[in-house]
Amino acid sequence: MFYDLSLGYEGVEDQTRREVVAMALQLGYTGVAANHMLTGIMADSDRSRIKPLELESVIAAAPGVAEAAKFHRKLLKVPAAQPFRQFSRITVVVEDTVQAAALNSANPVLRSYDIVAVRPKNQKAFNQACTHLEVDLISVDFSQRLPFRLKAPMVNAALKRGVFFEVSYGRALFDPRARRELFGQTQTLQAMTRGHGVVLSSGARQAMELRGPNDVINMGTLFGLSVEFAKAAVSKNCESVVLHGVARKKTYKSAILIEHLPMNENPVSDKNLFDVPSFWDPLSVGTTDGASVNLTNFLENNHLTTMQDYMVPELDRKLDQSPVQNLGQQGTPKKVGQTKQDDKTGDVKKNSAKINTPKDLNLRSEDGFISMGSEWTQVSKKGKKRNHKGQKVSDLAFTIDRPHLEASKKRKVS
Amino acid sequence: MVLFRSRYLVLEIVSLGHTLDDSLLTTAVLSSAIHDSLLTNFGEHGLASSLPSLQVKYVNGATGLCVVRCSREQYRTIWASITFITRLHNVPVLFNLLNLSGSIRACRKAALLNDTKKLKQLKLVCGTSMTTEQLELAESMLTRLPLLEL
Repeated sequence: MFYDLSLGYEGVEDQTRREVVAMALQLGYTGVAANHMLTGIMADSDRSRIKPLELESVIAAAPGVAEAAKFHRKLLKVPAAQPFRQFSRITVVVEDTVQAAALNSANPVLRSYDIVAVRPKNQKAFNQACTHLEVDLISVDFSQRLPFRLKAPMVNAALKRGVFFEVSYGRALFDPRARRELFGQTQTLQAMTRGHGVVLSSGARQAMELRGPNDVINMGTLFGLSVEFAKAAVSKNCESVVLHGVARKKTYKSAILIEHLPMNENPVSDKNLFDVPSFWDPLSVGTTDGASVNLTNFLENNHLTTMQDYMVPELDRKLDQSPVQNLGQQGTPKKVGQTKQDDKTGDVKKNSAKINTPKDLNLRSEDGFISMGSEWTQVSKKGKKRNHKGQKVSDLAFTIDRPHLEASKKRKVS
Repeated sequence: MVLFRSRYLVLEIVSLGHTLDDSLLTTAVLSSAIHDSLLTNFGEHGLASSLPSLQVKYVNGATGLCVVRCSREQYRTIWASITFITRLHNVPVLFNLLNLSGSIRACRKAALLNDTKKLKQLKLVCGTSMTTEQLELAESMLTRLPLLEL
């Protein structure tokens, strides 16, 4: 659902890294990538050594992570059963043709990473990256003055190939100068791409450089992106990047896949010909245990401690009795006819089907924010549902019980 | 036809490791921080155009929940300037939006729901180390929430 595809890795202590990942989990992200920056010539020793962090250690990094994650996921309408993924990523800094030549589909070093990004340092490298380098992401450092120009034909060529542009905001939060450059340059990027093919990420090296998905979307609107595109930049586009990476990593030239068929079955049955390959979990690429742990165990079973242990009895009783609590409970919106949100089993094949359907990304055209009360529907006399602007709405929108309003109307009538 | 339309942001203040002194986190502190951030990020014009509508309605020092009101025209800039706040009282913090609503009623509802949940989380995390003053503060702030008015 929400991804942050660039978290600092080099020179970041283990504990800090754990804190950053814990913060990302806490804020409701469902996937993060640890970024290895590569300057200079690529060697065989540059194979991925990034190990996904154990979820236990992440949850223990800061107090109350599991609870907070559950809380924020609910607000963001991310199913609690959605696994938290950790990817490995390499960013190759390209200045000359030798470095550029290393970025090809046959390179075994690149195949050990889930995501391959390129950081061009001059015009020639940028043109190459857009037109033919075998990468998933073009990561342009927008926090300083660009050493080249973003040219429309090149940018369009990249978009056509399905390569995304990355904007990272982490440094801009602390450095006013970087912020100025970021706002200026991203506006040009938006003009070139018209909002398509942009990925927003933090590049965080400490937990405080992260921001929640909603805040990032809002920041995206300041870059000139519309709300839908900004939302896609932290969710849908990131999934596309990861999928692009899977195709690059597991297939020959992103197209051909050779699979062993079971001996005892009919080799030309529909199942063998058209089913998704058995290993194919599009969003879980890591191999070790920590890579795609299902969070349900941590969130549902309340593994920390039970609530009762830490309750302060008097206050609790007060809270339960007070009108405050009642009002809060009464006000939860009821969903009518909402599509079923999650598959609790976290089935591999269901997941792969999920990505193609835009419904699941929860894109809402109008404002794109979490809303509890701003969207409501009314059933008119003719029985057609209309929202507060008088437009017809489908059953997917929320309806909110408003008994107190109806009561006041009745009073007026009588 | 309503001439002035407002937006209510329900935000939470997240700090890692360091804990903010609860009694220091007040509406005055928060609004001055927002003003500073508006001035640095959007300049005099940005600050001046959002000042008339900008108001910090509620801050719960213990749970870190706050409610900010602003006009519909300006809410994105104000929201962004809040996002760009990195420090309060020299403690590194980050702001995270929990809810955005267009009416005080919806905002009150959401704020109540989230504040009660956050209080429960706080109790779970701090456990017995929580002082009675802290609890009382959180609780007394919570009772003020239903009284939020335009």
